[in-house]
Amino acid sequence: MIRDRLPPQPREWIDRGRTIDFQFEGGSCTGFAGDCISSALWASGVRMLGRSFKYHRPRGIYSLANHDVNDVVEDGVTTNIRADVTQICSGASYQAVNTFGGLKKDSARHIEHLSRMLPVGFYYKAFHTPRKLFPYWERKMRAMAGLGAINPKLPRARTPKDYDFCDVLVVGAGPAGLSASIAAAETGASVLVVDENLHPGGTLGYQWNSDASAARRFAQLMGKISSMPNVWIRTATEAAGLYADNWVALIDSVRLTKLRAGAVIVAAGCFEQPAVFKNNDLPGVMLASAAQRLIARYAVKPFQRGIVLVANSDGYCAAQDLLRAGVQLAAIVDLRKSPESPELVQPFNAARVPIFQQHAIYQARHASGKQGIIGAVICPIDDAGKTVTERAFKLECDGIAVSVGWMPADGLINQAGGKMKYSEQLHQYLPESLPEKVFAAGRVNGVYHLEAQLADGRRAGLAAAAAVGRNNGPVPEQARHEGPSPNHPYPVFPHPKGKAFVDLDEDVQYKDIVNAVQEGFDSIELIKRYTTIGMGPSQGKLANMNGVRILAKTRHQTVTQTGTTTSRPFYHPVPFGHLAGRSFHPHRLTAMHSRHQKAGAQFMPAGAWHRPAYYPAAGQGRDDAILAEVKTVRQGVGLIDVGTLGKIEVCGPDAAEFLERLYTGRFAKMRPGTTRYLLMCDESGVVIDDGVAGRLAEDRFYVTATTTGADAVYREMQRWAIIWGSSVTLANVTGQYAAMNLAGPYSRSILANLTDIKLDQDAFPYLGIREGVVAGAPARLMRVGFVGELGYEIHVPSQFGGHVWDRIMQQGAGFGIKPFGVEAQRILRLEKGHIIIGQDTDGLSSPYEAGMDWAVKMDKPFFVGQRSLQIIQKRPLQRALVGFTLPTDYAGPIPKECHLVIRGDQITGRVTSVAFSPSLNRVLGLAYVAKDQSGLGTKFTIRVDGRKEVEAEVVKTPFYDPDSRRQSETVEKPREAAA
Amino acid sequence: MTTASRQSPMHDALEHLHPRWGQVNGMSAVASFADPQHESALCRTLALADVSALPRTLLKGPQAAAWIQRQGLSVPPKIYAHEAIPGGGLLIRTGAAEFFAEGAVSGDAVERLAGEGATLPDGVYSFPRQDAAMLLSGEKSFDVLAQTCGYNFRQPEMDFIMSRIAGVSCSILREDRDRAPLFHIWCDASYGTYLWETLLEISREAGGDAVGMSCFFPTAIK
Repeated sequence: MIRDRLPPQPREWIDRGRTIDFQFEGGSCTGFAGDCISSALWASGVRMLGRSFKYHRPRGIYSLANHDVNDVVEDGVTTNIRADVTQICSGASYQAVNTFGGLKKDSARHIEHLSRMLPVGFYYKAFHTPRKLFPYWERKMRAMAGLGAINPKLPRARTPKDYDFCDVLVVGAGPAGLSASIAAAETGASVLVVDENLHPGGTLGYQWNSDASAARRFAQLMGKISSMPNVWIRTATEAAGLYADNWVALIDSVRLTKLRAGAVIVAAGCFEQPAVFKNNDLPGVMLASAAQRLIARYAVKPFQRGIVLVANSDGYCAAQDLLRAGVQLAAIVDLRKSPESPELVQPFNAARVPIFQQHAIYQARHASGKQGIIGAVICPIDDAGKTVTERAFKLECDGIAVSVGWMPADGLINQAGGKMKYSEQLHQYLPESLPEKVFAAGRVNGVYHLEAQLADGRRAGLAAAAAVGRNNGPVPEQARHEGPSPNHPYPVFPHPKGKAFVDLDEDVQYKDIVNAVQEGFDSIELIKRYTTIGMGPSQGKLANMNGVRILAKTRHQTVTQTGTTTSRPFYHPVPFGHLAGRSFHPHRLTAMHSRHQKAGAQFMPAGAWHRPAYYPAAGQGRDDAILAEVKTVRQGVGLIDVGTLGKIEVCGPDAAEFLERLYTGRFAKMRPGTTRYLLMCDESGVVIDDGVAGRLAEDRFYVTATTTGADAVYREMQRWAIIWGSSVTLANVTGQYAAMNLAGPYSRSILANLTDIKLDQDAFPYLGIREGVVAGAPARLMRVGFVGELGYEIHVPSQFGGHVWDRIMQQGAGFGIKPFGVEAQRILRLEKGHIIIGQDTDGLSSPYEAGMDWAVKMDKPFFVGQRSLQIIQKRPLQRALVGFTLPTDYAGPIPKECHLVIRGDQITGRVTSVAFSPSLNRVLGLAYVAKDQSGLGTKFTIRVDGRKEVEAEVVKTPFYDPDSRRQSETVEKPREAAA
Repeated sequence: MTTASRQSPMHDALEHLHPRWGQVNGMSAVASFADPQHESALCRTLALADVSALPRTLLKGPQAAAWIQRQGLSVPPKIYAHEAIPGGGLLIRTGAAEFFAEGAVSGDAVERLAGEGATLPDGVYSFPRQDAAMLLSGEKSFDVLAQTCGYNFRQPEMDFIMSRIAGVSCSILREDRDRAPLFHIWCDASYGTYLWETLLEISREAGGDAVGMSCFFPTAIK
């Protein structure tokens, strides 16, 4: 830990009072609290922290800012841990990803020797033939690809996801961002500042590490902010994406925050850009800003003897920081003819550090196993920027710091719809136009001097406050960069042998881009897809700019002519767990749910509802349980929870007329106390719902709808009521009422003891509706016959549901009452030939196809869908829903719902419902068949599983009790054992 | 006459928390789960209570406002405005001709509004409201709502809204008490268990917990 640890730095992030022990690749390591994994390892002298994606080349610290994926580890629970920005945890055991056999002995490291066989786009060209070997190669490729492995056996981590709001969001807590937040907050705006780093300050914390005036500035800014109650800073939080209306996705270690900001200020700074030369990826070669981060944040010496490759004054500042950190500088290699200021070189002259102007690094010389570097090859460059290799010379070093330019972190601006334009003067993209309420500040605007950044931040803050109505005062003009450009226009120095990387994530080399252009992939978007440049986890933060420059130069274009790729969310990869959040799955339970649980019900989903499918007795299988429930209802009495049915009250002077217009039947002349089946079509004449309308009073109907259709029916009612101007009052009372259907020959006997409503046939005939009290609760009773037995649908306010269910079950105990579920109900209704909307109808079914002509009163003046049905009526039917049976002695495979009806090589229909009927002791069902197959007695063929064919016969429905005597009349038998 | 016992939509979820039960309007209601002083303190930080036992009704129809006035109550002047019912309770205007009323643990204002024991005049219709009703209380209630709803509950003008909490359509009213935020949350009874368990889980993660009705109606729970 102490090998390369420096004395305390002014604003270091580590806590030297707390040491943390952890493991890396099986070896013991120690760091300080606050160390990131990479810094702790680097301080311990570990230089190889990872392996590259394609060639498995050794990699070390490069940006130390999560702008590359050289250093990605996993800990057995979490993968894709970015070692550059993740703090060490006590006891953690980290492994580098993308290795086979460990980091040092990675067996895939030999792939690099095959690199000639793996040129750019090789996977588009190879492995397609012979075709039978493709699955083999596919498995191999999949095994090789990817960074890290997900352990699917780990329990799911439920992450919170939340919403937040502010007037002004400032992305970036560097000098411009902090200045902007103060200016906006001073107007009274609520300001949220987010920064992906663990601590605020941005470049103030490492680029001006040894500048006392910058330190004072930072202290002033933070002091001011801490005194402002309307400014919040969220560190370790990235603005991952910016969407419409300034909806910003904020990601921290545990959560996704959906932030709605009035205005957004992008003060996200810049990514320092690499230079392209041979072996520019090996451990020891790093960005100068990475070296500064190591020194300032973690007090770690980047290397012992280094070379600094510069093209701007920032590089000289970095070189000074290295000198102060005790690094012996072998040389400063400046790509330019001269530095912008003579003062820059004075400290190095004093320290006798050689400075080579208009020189470049041509090659980093690697150590054994490429696990570090031992020197560099330096070349002069001519006025065209080309290396003069004849005059190359070598210098020894174990580290190279690169400072050749910057690229704005402009992803959010692009996502917001802003336009960036390449400045030929500054050699970087600058905002050309910004969307309303989106602002840029600081280095994103090409403003590099500290005081200018602060001023630009203040301007952006005032402008943002004005945009949200908080500032009526003047907004200053935007500051501009003065002086030479800090960005070199082409820091690329190819080598005829060896690898010079443009994209470290994807191992894309200089020659890959040149070759791709030669193959005809000559636009930036094609280059991206073909070479995969910019497609790695870093999304081209360090690669895109040089990629565009190389393409432009190869094609003899300008950067502007070449263009750039589209910037999409997310800024960094976001774990799926963050996106999923808690995964809310709202579900509905009926008032009797706990009763069903106690009765051992097996539940099934019905829309959002959980409904009992069946109630198996101990040791009883599914089918036996269902058949027993059917038998109980037919021969005794059963109780089913139908609380999931849609329930809507239609009230008002136009209530009857409203139903006449909405449904296909007639309702105007219904007497109070009666019910009637209702069928709903859409405007194209397709059946969309059904139910029952019970007339409670002249101006009040109680309407039921299907379980899954209730909300849609209610919405349709509201829509039509407005369109027609109907004087109706509507209320969706689905959840307000519990409902149960007491069905079977003994239902009346049981109910009679629980209600004050007269139940005899004359007082309460079939299809009647009554209001009264059941088991002490206010109730509505309907005599309906969905299951084809004497039955009462009992509706009570839902808070009474449990009580009434209990009382009925108690009262029915002596009658052998049993609860029955949806599966038994499906068989019972099928025996009666009753259709289920959505199962026996589809998105095209007209009432005529479904055999529901009787429910459609075409002679009414109007109803929804009537005009379409008038047209449909005139056309010959193409298909019809029929009842069918299989022979009573049939013993083959039973058709299933959706099995096809086949005639020759034609599909003429499909089975919609099918079951074995215990009441009739045979298989029966409903199916769509061709119209000419629908005649009674017609035989048709159903293709079942295994391509076997079964012959079925069209029969009349109802299959059971065709005269409906059981449900409409008293067929009750006395029961001696009645309680 | 109603003699049956009522049950909260969250009854089973509450039962698992081993509460001390009381009675409110014929319904078993949780008086408390823990020490009353502890629960009182929770109410200032973060607490969730089931208040489904309170009586409720929905009045609709072109004459609903006039009917309310005739009962001696103030009619909320605009949609989403609310008025206190004398003696306890709330009357919220949820539409041009739609009013939601919730009573207190005592009194019969809601029953009178619903026309129980009388005939409602033409143009006034009452419908039962069997909502799952909860109170979310305390400074950290904002954190719970921020994790479940996309509405900005911190904005000063927040009063009554209809939105989705954890994916469930809810009505939410802010009515601070003793300078602590207090949110009434109503949803369809069938979603009650789900919503209760979801809010309680998040509340517990934030240091809150379930409390009984006694926290809010100290003398009225029998």
